[in-house]
Amino acid sequence: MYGTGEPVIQTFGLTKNFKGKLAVENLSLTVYRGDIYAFLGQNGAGKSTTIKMLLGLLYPTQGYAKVLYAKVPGELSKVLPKIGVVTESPAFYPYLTGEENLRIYAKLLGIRSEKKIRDVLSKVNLLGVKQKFSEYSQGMKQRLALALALLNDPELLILDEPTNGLDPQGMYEIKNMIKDLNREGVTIFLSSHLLSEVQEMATRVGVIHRGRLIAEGSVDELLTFGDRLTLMASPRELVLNVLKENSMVKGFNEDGDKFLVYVDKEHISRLNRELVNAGIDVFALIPVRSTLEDFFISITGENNYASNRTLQTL
Amino acid sequence: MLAIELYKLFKQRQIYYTFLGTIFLVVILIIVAKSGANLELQLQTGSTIDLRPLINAYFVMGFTLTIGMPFLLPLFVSLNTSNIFTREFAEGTIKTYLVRIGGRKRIFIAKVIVNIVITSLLLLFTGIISFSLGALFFGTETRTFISPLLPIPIPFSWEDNFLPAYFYSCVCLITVASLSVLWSVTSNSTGETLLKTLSTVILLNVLSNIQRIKPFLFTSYLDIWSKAWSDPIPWAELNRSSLILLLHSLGFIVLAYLFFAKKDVTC
Repeated sequence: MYGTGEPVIQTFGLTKNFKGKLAVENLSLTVYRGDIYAFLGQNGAGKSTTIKMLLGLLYPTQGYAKVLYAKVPGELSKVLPKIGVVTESPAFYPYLTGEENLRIYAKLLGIRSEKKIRDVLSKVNLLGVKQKFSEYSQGMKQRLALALALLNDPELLILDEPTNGLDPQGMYEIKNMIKDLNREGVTIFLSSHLLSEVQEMATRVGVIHRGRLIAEGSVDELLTFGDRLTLMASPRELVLNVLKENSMVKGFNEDGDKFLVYVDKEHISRLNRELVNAGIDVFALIPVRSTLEDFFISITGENNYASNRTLQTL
Repeated sequence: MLAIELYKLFKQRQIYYTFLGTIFLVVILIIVAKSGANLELQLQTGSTIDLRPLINAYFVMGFTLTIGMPFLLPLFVSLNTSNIFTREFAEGTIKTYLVRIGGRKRIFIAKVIVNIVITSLLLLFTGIISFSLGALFFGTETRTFISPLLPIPIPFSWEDNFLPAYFYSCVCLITVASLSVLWSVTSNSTGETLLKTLSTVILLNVLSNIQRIKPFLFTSYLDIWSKAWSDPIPWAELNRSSLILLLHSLGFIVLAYLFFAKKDVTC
């Protein structure tokens, strides 16, 4: 399902400063109804901080957010019954079983049906588990958090690393569950570092790097950011000069003795000509199909030359 | 939400430790009384009074307050408060609570009410257990009870002595609990809350030796309950002191709410 154009999450210049350390800077993103929006970033990039601000756990230093039209954090409690959340490192009362934990939240959410609790527990394969939460494995904790997120039949799911700690089977199940929920009309906002997983299901992607949103768009848009070429050429310094100066080149990474170059298809032959004219020996110029992972690395990696250009486009 | 808060509270093993603690206090008192230890009280006149014939259920009930109020009961109250507030931060459950239920004010008020309820319950339990165990071991025949200074066998009155003593003790402990709420929303571990609360009480107790600032320190009023043993009972002073303590409690809670409402939940 693709977004309908109605924004369900919007942030406006969201900034969070932790005692002088800028965790999120001037972040403006939009998630549309029906989206599976993947919020990507390296560890410490600012994903969880952003999600915590969306959920009213952290107060922005500057800017604000709207979730389901409610201004956060002031009006958030009005829309919480329509939202399901899985936070980073889910926490429940350790002295209660999973079912007892869910029953507490069900009562507080006004859900009287025991069947509903059993249904969500069954959905995440925790039905009948009598262990206390303190005895749960990381995967079980994650699944219980998902069960709680689904308890109130949310129209928006906010998931912070939902497959964290799950085994491959668990990850596969969660991925399918997310797709199914989205088909049923639930908008999903999820943060992840599992790019191949995300590429399969995300309709839109936002990339955060060092607290700044450096790319946002549909997966198709981002992957056509530039056709990727593997370039093998020498001498290195000359190649670097041409790639840096050439306006056709949208970005490139240096990877050992190769260069991964982003350039539109129609400019490939011209680039080849310019490299040769500059006295460079071109040994190979091979088109490669881009993945989300390639794109992510190209704009967040240490040896990339694309970030600044991408920032200018946002 | 109140019912849920109480349910959560009584599901925690730590809460029962404080109730067990009060039983332990009474049992120790009874063992000492039964052991034939020297229980003589030296009066200012130089003469002594043998306390043993005076010991009965009322004596135990009154003496439990005398022993417990200066330190142990405030300690138990702080422990309970940190289980209500700080533990949620320490274990990260406050995060789940906030993102599912929202409304920090609602959550805070529910927790404060539960805190007052558990403090009152603890004191009620202390009264019941000390009277029951006292009655079991010493009977209830002699109607005497003890003042903070010396035993005064006066006609006993539930209404004029024991109920006020326990009521004003409750006011004192609620003030300690409120202080503990303030520290618990600014702490990351239950130990930290405990340490901050008791340190504050001890520090202010020391400072209350300075007569000029004594009237402004809430710790100067934490022994008002003992005035209920006086004859006649200074009701006006008791009520004025209670009002001062309740105003302090309100101040601590408002301050705690301001912290809680603006606190970043980073767990």
